[in-house]
Amino acid sequence: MAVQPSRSDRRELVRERAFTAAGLTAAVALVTTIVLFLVQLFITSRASRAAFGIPFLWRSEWNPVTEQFGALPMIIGTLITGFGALLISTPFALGIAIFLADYAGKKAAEPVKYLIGLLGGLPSVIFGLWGLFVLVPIVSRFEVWFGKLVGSEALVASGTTGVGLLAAILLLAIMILPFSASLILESLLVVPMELKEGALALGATKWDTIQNVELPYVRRSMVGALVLSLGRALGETMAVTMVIGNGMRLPHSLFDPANTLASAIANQFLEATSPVYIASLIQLALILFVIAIVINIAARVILRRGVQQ
Amino acid sequence: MEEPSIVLETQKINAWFGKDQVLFDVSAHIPKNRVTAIMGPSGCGKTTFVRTLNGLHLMTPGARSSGTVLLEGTDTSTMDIVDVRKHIGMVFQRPNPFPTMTVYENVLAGYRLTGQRLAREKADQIVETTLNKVGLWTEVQTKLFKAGTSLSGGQQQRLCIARTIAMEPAVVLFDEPTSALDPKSTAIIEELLSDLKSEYSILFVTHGLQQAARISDYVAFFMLGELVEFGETKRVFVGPQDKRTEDYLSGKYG
Amino acid sequence: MTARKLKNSLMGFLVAASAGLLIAVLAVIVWHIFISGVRYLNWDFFTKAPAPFGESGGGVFNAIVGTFLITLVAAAIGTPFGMFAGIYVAEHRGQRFADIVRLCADALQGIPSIVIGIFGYTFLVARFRSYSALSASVALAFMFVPTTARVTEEVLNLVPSGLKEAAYALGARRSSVVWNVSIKTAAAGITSGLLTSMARIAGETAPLLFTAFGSRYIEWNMLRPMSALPLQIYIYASSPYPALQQQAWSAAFVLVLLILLLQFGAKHLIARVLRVKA
Repeated sequence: MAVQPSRSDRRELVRERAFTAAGLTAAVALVTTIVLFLVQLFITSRASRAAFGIPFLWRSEWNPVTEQFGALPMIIGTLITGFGALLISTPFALGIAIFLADYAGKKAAEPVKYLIGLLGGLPSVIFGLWGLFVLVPIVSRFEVWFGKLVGSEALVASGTTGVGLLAAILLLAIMILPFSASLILESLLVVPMELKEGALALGATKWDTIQNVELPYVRRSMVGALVLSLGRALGETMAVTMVIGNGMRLPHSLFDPANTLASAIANQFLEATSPVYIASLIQLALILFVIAIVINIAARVILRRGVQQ
Repeated sequence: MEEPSIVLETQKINAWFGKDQVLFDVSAHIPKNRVTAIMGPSGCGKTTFVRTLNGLHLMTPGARSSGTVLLEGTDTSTMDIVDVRKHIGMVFQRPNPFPTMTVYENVLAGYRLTGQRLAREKADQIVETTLNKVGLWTEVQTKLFKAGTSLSGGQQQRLCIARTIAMEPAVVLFDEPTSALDPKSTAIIEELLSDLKSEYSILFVTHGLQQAARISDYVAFFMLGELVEFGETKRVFVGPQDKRTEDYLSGKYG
Repeated sequence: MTARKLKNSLMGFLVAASAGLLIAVLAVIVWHIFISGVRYLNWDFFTKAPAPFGESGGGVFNAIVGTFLITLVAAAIGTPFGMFAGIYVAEHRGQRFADIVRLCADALQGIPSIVIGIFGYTFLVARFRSYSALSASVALAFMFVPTTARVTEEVLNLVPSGLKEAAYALGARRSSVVWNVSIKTAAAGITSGLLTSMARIAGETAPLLFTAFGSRYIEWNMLRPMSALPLQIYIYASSPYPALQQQAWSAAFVLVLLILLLQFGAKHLIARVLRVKA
């Protein structure tokens, strides 16, 4: 039964080896990319660490003129906008997901899902454009009104621009809404029908079933979905850059101009001339990179466990 | 009927899915140019047995096997698995013609997928003779360049048989090929077997006693992963030697 | 009992209202882009480069060309890596390294676009001492690869295992099964995934800021600075001149149209895949 390898057999073998090698190469390249990013950003931000060391993380001064740099204002700005946006958008995202999973029939759900995809697919810069010319003027009017309400003349005077943390939070909330809504919807759809029907058969109302059966069942994957959305919000760049106002100091109120890690880089990198300034901006990118990787891996681990349960 | 020679011999085949052992020391001699039915209750390991013969069993994640398979005297573990599969063809439970290929291309799929190029005339000739062997030529002559999946279920299964025998294998494994078909298509395929066995040695997995009795010359009876009884079909059905076979044949296991 | 029923109705209303709110927000944004965008559209806008500073008129042809070139080259670089990585993960399902690769692809998808831009700058622009469209394409390829890998894997997992087994049973090797059976069966799904990924990178701005940099001229040379629609929108929107801000809206309209076109193509293909499967 031993067969002499023919020419076509040999060709097949060569192709097989090339194919295996290509697959492995691509897979290794993908894993290496993360290391490559880390190493590259670490090396090119040396000058910043040489000048400020670890305290860079909690120094609150960011002054290109005196070349004193600290990341605290940006870290605070990133956390406030990220969590603020998550706080505002989550109830709506949850509502939309529940609506699509349990209330809307197939006929109503399909177009809504399509629109969610549409909103999620709009580029960041488009949201920025809309935020800058539509949302910011509204926020500005709200600031003046709010200033008069609480009797703060400073606010009435300074807050008229509208750019700042609040505008960024609102815009981010809109941007992550489709993302977190579809992630939550995905987790709701795996709840077994029998569980829901069992509760309904016991005389529970639809909302009782959702509150007591469905939501507890997906608790874990919902946390995963929200962590992923947070990661998305923390790294969002263009839209935030366009409405946050490039403030260098620690913000004192929601109406202050500020910066996130991402927006500081986008706003200032092309203007940065000195090596320490450039390295400090790259250092911000490194911090953002590490935060993003940690959050994403954590979220995936949570989600995977959620599925396994 | 004179004693046939042996085409396939298995020695102490064991197989596992993860930690579950599904085959225990299966040793059998499969006769050449005969139909051997592999029967037994569901979950007895009959499908796993035929899948160990062409190495498909090992493609399931976590699956293992041990033992020796001799194909016309050659230990298959010394051969490239690809060559083993060219000599041991397989027809599956559900008809699975390649949806991206035409009827014509489906018949020649084995050549194409193994990188063998055929001259146009040779290809035409293989398609015609093979489709004739499975009684499909007159039915699909005008549909040769339509999608293989456009045929009826029974025709699709015969197309899959054609695809397998086009490679001129020594052995053809049938894994319950009629369980997804209507009675009429089943009858056509059963009749086909008696023609095919003049050229090929056939292993036919079935859980139907009637079917085994109708089509086979030899029968291997499996239970809980063991080969309980092997012999000529007439002999086994009339006078089973093992108590378990007897119980099964008299309907005690359902 | 009545309190529970009241709560039930109230909650039903609230979840429907949040869906309504989403649609309203989307409608408002699309409305603004449409109204403000269409108003300043004219033939010159599609065919001319920006007018010299101080003159009125001009268009964004340079940015349209740039978006197409940069996106296509990024996809050309990223597709083989992404597809092979996806094939690797799909073919080694359940193995530890494949799981790691999948996790890395997921993590890479979460890298903020500005980080990719900075990486592109330090890795390519700083090294070769020149802004270039090619460095932008490479940066975008880093976004393209993980999405392509995931889509390829997911689509390949949908290929019925019976088909693959049939091919193996005929004596085909793995490469042949993947190419001639899996990929062909999943072709529409993979193409659709590629189009979706392209739609995504076509709208990216941050990775281009420090790589493509932008240009006022119609540029075809990938080794030189180049403009792109998202970049042009950002630059015009941040400018203090109303005429340029108006052009930003029109460019936004064109960009959204382009992205919708790609997404529509993708959706159409997906529908075809589902029909074939049924």
